[in-house]
Amino acid sequence: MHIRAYLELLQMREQQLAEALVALAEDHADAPDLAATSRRLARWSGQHAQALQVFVGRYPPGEEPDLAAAVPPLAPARFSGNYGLVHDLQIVWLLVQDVQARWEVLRQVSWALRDRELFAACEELGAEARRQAAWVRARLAEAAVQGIIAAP
Amino acid sequence: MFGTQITESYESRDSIAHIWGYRTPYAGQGQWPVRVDERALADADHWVQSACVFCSNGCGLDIGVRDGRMVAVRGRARDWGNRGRLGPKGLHGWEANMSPDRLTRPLVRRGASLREATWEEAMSLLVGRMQEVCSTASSLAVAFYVGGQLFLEDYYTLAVIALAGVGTPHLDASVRLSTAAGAAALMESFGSEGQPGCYDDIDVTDALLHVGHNVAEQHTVLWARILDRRHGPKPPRLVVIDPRTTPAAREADVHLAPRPGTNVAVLNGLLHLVIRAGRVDHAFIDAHTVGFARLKGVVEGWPPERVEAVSGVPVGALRAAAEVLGATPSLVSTVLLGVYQSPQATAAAVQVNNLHLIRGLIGRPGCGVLQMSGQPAGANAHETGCAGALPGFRNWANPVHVNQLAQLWKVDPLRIAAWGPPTPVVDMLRYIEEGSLRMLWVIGSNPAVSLPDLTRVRAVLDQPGLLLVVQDAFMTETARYADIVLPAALWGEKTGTFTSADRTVHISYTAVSPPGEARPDLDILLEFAQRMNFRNRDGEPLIGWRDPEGAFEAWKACSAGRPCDYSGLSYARLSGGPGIRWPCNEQFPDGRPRLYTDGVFYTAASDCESYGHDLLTAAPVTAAEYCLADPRGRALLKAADYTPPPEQPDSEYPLWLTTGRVVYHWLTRTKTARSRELSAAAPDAFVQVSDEDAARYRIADGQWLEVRSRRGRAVARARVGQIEPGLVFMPFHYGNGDPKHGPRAANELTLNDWDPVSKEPWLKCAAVRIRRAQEPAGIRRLLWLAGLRRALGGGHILHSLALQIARLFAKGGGRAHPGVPGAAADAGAAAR
Repeated sequence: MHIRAYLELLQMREQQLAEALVALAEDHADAPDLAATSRRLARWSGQHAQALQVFVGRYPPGEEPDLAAAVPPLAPARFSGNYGLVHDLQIVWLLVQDVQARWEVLRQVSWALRDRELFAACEELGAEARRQAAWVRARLAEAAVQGIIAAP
Repeated sequence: MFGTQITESYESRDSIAHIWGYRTPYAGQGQWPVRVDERALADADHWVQSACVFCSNGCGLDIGVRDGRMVAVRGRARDWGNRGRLGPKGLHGWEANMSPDRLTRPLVRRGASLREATWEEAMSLLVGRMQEVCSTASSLAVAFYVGGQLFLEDYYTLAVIALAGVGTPHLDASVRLSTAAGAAALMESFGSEGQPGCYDDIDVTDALLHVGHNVAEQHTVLWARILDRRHGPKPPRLVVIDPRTTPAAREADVHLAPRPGTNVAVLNGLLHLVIRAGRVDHAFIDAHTVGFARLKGVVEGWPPERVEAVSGVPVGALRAAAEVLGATPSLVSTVLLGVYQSPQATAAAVQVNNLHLIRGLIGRPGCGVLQMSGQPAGANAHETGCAGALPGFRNWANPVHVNQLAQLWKVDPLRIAAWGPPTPVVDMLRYIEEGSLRMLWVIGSNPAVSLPDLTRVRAVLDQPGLLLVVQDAFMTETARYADIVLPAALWGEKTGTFTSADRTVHISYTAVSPPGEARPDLDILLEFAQRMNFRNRDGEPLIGWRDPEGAFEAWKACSAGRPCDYSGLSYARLSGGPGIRWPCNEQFPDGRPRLYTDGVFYTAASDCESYGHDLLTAAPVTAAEYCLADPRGRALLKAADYTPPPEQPDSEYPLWLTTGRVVYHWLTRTKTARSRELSAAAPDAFVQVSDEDAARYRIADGQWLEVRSRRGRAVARARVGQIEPGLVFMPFHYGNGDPKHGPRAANELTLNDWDPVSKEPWLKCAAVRIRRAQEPAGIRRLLWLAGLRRALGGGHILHSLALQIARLFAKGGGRAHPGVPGAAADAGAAAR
């Protein structure tokens, strides 16, 4: 069983997503609605990581190698302006896709394990991950053209 | 007063002292009695049909003309929006047209100053620079920002120029600052903009709900209608939600005064009580809506006790309001800036729609939601595609809608700038700051006073490398930053149509010529298009019309088949009689009083203007997601939980600031400050504080106060009372241009932040602190000189001399920057 390792990887990714969203808000404070929502979504990811802790404790460690090292970190470039924004959103998009996919996988796994609590968490928190993904995609669509063609 | 020969200045009523006039009580549709209000400076030799441009009520009026000059206005008795009535601004504000400081010649910047130029010079320069910017930096470096007071013909022409001519998505209107959230709420709930109800519903309704709508001061004639119902048989109950004790709040049966930023909590509390009491129309909900279970789940968490804790609205008052709203068999709700300029603006406005939907109070007489527009032609900015959607309430995310426009305009669909959502003005400012937007053309708007956080706005307008074009009738605060100023005609000096908040279309004819070389906005836009040589795919001019009626006919073709269908209207049909509502087409040849009479909404995926948004994150719903759960004509009940505003009072800034209007002024006072009576009735800004806070800070009525926020400061006299403790209020009309004053614009203080769904700035709540202040130095000098004059017993000449000296002192020896406090003549967005 590799459930615990998988849970820990999702936890790590949620943490990374939270940090990336905070960085996005800090580096692009000139777009206050972007910054405010980014911070809000960062809090969601922090809460997700925390909520996973209960389940991490529920499953024993497996025999697998330390996969954390094999999952490369994704960090925003941290430069301002609209081109920087496009780049940073692109990184956050990758992270949120990863997180979203992992919640979907975990939902299947929890079903197979008949772990009702984990299943409920996947339903609820996975839905929030989808909202995060939709937001990142939308902000990318808003920023992309000006950022890539016109920004200095 | 028809046919009366007037030999001197005449006023049928004193609208300054008696804002709403005498009562004419009534009940029943079509029963509102006629009362013709009139004001004349001389006998008119003829009258010209028009409508009032001092709010979105759409009061029909005639302009009296004598010897080529405007001399009078008179309400049109045949018009159902006013039945002859006019408010104080309508009766007085037109005098601004004759103001001696009108712009009469184009101006072009040479070095630090603006110099007069010919139209040929100005237009050559404009077109040359536009072509240069587009070729060196792309059309993404060009933006248009337009006021809410042009005519439909101007807006539609501008939309075609921007979207398919220049090819930029950077097109926005000042309605973004006023009613963007209302438009967004209509799209979220009903799939498209378009007021479900109309003013006739007020004639027969059993109850009225005003949410954040200072109706008595904003829509004075609408309020007169409501007062007349309240004084007639079977008066409607009245519920008002407003943090201040406005005239409407004083009249209300139930007044709820929530803390700023808590509208969603209060409205969720009302929905909670209505649902708990079982006062919902389950048959309507089942047949005509989706989303009730989730809405019920969210508002379940808002019992009255929690609402009180968050909003300060007492449990008993909330219950009393819910009793009225839950029991009434019919209801008209109006919503305006108190909701739209607050945090969670769209989410809150949607909850008012939800109230009507769950009670089935929509689409029949006496039942309507009016997500009000504020400006006279604000609705047209939305309809024609100048304010966030594509022309004809088309959905930019729907390729079929984009193709319709491409066919109509005979252009390749890829030529239309519809790859993403149109750019709101708040983002345009960011693009200017970073240098990716290099040319901004402002038409009939004064962002240097009306946008939030003016310190930043001034820096943006003054940014090196930005070419600013301002088209206006007056030298506004914004125009002082311009590189090219184009003098524009005002209302009464040009022909066109505009549409009131209840979808009624009026025609306004040219009564007099514009002064000097000033030209109608449409003429300027048409000449620009011609000089830019915009062509369609057949090589014909992209803009095929040459006059207002041609533009109207082109718009009819664009609107045909859409919710805002004008195809059955014409200049001939609009002339002579009252205004006519859209949709007006073969099915509804006389216009349609109310939409959704069959419970079918514009939510089908193929029809809708927008696929909607996540109300919390503002992420748009994608086409694929929307089509998967296509509501196919059912209204959407969208729930929203309350989220606290990011800036709240703290120990450093312990008070809430909210902003709003006074009855005698309109927007940034461009016109109303030029009426002697209106200006005298409300000469200056003020800071309204509660009795409790006045005692705490030892403030007397009339005491000068400094209000400070994290963004800036403003100074004005105190006005004590009629407001909740912890809250201060400033009117938003007053700019910083008056040399007697220090900064007094409310927007020196407001937050640079906005509702993520509608992108409407939060002008209604900011954390501030107050302290007693000395009167501004300019005023002190004026008073001293006035005392000197009295002591010397001097007459008019000495007084004038004293004023001139005072102004010189106040200017502090000239200005380093245009528009900086203590420099410009006070002015604002020109009401067209």
